[in-house]
Amino acid sequence: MQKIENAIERAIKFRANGIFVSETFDLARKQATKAIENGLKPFPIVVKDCFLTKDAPTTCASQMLANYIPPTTSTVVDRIVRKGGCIIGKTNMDEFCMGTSSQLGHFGPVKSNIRSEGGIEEDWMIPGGSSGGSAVAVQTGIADVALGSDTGGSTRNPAAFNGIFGLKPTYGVLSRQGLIPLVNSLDAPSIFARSAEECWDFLDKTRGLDDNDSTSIDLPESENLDSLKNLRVGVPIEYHNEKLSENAWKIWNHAINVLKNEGAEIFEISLPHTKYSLSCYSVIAAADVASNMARYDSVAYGHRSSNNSSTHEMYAESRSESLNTVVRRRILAGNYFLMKKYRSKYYEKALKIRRLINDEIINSFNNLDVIITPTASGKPPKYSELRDTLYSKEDDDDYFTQAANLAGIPSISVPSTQNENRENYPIAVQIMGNRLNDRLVCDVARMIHTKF
Amino acid sequence: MLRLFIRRSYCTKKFPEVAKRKIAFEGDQVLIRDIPYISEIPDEKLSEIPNFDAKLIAHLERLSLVRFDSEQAVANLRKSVKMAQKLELVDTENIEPMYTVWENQECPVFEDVEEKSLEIEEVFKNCTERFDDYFVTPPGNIALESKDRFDLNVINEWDKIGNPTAPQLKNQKLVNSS
Repeated sequence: MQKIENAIERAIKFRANGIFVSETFDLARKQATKAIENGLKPFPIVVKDCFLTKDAPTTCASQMLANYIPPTTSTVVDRIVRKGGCIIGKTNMDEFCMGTSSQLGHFGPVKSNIRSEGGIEEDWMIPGGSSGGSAVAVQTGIADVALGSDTGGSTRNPAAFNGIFGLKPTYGVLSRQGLIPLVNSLDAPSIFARSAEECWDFLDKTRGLDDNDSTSIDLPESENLDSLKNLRVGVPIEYHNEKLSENAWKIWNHAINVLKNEGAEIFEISLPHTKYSLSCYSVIAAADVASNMARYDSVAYGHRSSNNSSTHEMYAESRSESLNTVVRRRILAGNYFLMKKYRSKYYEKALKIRRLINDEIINSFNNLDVIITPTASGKPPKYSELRDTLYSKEDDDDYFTQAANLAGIPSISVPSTQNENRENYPIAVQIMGNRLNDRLVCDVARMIHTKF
Repeated sequence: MLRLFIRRSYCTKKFPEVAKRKIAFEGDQVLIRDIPYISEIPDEKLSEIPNFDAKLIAHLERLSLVRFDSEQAVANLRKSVKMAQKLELVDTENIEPMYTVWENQECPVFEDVEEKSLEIEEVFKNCTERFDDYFVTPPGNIALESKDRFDLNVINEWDKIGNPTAPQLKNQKLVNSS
């Protein structure tokens, strides 16, 4: 119980960081009492505000859902609460998960606690996104573990920017039931923690088939790996691109050195479609967004405009008033790519290229156990830097993460400990494995972390 | 002044300086190529995007049921199209589209058993306008009006004459605190 009170105290202490959309302290206390009654040890968690929670508002950081209270709770949240998880709050994010900065949501920006000595009033470090609030909650010690979601890097990117671990499991291993959909075939509930073991533990507590998600899948049991000897590690040349910073390369190269010294075999590989991956992702994402966002008609729920001149006028006004510019841009782009005239030229073309990208990654695992790349192009930017470059840096970072979603493979972002002494900004590498090798990527992450 | 600054820094982002070799930490071997791979696809390789006209803008607003709020919003859509055009460079002859990750997985269906549905008050608790047990909408069957309101020249020549502005942050607030 004291653990829960400490978490609440810290949540209040870090209010200026904009971590939460809703604080749910009373709910956490209630859940803690119930956990103790059931003989469980309560522990604090935070949940990204795109997971439905019956007892608390769920907003997706949008004015559209600012007053929305769902009638049901998502499977993953339900499972972790049954194991003793106590929800301290629903975390702030990019509106409807669209973005890699957690800055433009309806409830204000999330401000990183990294390098915050000079204050965070005027300018601040970007926490990454879209699950920025969940990442900062773990970094500041409010929660040991946090729930995020990852469609193109939305958990691994903020994990890297906050110096913590972020695990995107194999597609389907965590149920999507109750996760407000962004891109149905890419979305993965994902986990933040300060160690790879805790990421695995959370996954272990919440994984498995769910009757309410027909794309969910069981993770076969696998042995714990305790040596890096003879581990076959792939290093794709395309991930050292023009945007990769000097220090991010150094850290990545250092990770590979650590593995080699531990007896791993290192292979340079080529994944030649990588340079088309972000375009492929953006078309598939926009098309799904256009259709997924069509449910927001403001009739049964959602922000409703006072314009009552016609049904379509009311729809369009309500949506234009309450969805931010990033969300509207993707809806409009998706409808462009899905127009009869362009559907095969863009949407179907992207789906074919997805297969090429998927196949070259999956086939590379015939001869490899893991692929290791940087998680992001470099250190987290400052807010002012992002604003002055019109958020173009978001794309530079997405380059590194979205391919794992296209292929549905597990990937974990591992923070470097060396770097704290060398440049004092968090930088990370990501470890990708073949589908269903979630345990393996966590084990490799655990073993290299202490040494790199 | 601000405009100049934004455009210049945007340009440097787009064209990084000539690549130099990366240097490993002391004591580390160079195990990753130290010269970057060129991932950027130059615009010259891509076909021209047809100019946007008022008809297309109106059509997209009707399909999307959201409005473009400025010339910049329409120009941004053109940018998204430009991004998508890179896909034209990939040969996809005889490749099947990939819609989902688990393509060979059996898709379970629900047993045909009646489920308990939501209580009526639960169904209506999030709605703004209700009449008895009905949702209320304004008159239907009227197509969305889309007024001509943008300078098409600014949209189609955005890279040369556009005045890009970054989206504004909202104030920090909590929806709920208990």
